[in-house]
Amino acid sequence: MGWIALAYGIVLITLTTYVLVLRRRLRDATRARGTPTQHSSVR
Amino acid sequence: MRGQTFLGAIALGLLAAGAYVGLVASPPDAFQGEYVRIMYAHVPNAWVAYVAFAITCVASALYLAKRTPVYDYIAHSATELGVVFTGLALVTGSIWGRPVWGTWWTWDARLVTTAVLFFIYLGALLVRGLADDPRRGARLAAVVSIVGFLDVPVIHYSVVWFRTLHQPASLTRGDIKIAPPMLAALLLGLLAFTVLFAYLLTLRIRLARAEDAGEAA
Amino acid sequence: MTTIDRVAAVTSKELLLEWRGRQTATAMGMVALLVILFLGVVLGSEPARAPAVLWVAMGFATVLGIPRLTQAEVEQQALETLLLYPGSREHIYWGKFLALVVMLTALLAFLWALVGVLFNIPIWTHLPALIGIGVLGVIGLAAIGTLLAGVVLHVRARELLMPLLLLPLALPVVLGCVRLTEAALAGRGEGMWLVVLGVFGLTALLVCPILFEVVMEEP
Repeated sequence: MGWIALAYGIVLITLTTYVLVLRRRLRDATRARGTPTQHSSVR
Repeated sequence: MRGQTFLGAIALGLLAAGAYVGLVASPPDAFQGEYVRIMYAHVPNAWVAYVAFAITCVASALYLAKRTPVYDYIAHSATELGVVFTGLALVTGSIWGRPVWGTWWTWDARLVTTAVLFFIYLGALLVRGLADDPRRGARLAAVVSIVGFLDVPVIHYSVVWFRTLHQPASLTRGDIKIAPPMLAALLLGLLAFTVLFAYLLTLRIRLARAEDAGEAA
Repeated sequence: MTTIDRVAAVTSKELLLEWRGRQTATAMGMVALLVILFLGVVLGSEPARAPAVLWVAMGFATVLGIPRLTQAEVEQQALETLLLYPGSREHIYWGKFLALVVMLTALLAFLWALVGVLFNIPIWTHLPALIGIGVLGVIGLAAIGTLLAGVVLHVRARELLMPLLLLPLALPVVLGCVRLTEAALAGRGEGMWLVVLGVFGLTALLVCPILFEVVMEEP
């Protein structure tokens, strides 16, 4: 039983972490892209 | 954007169904007992990893031919996903091997090829990251990916022949006769991981595009 | 200037540069020597182990030598000049490839002499077969190695990246040479491995020069 839980657990944790990291980096990247336009509108 | 969320939702649903069928609904194997359930987590990972590397090779070749950034986004994303899924395939394979074969690792051709593939594409990712110019990094990573992909069959057969001189029959998973309910669980897992892969790939490509635009701005 | 002249010019430039310093040859020789000594001590020097020890040493020495093949272009900004010379970039590939072939051949000859003594192997009786295997192995290593030398030209941490790039890609060459050498020493033939090494060498020599042009483009 333990081996099965270990295998499924590792897959679950890795993929969840990966998705979360991707979504966070995506949010940061879109925000970073937004920043210059905000600056230029201020100017 | 909305289509992507929809794809993610389908992937999640299929994964949940696949986990239920694999862990609960499917019968235990006659020889491996309950441990056969690890297969439903292992084989889809390996399958998706190989799909990722095929996509990487095609996208890399297209990038070198056309020099459109889109193909590089695809190649970069597929390489990264390939490394993640190859890593998972190796780890789950080891965990499966421990109770079933009694060992974490055998020098079986498929295992060695997969491990070598992992290192080649890790190298491609590192070359891209360490290059002094992003466009050069894209080109160099494409070159490494193409050479790596062409090398895979040669690596595979050389490992097969190298080992067979010493140990005539090594355990291969292809020998396992598969019963219909198990096949159904396996196919469901393959489907779920393929959809998950499609979702992750679109997400990663969007990220590559956004980061590229961010650097250019 | 014909193609041959251009290639010969690059080859002689590389070899002259190496002959003046002899740093790469020394470093490759030392590493290979130490690998052989270490494995000889650790595994024991039965003649049966010699092929594996020899070709593993060759693999690691190649890893060390390849980044040096483009070191002058990195350190002295000689790349611009090299690219300005008439002729396509493929000539640079073939020139550097031949220089690497010469260096690896010299290294292999030196290592065979050493292994023959340390592992007690009658090299002279098997010389023709060993030379044939050596040619195939050196061509395979050099073909893929020259491409990688170009790949790491503009990459940071090039020395650290080299084993990760070369060893997985060159695995079939090492495996093939080990088995062929074992067979040759036992007086057997191994047609299958000749095919593997032949296919590897041919594919690499067809694909790598083309990709080398892509590698040498300016950003």
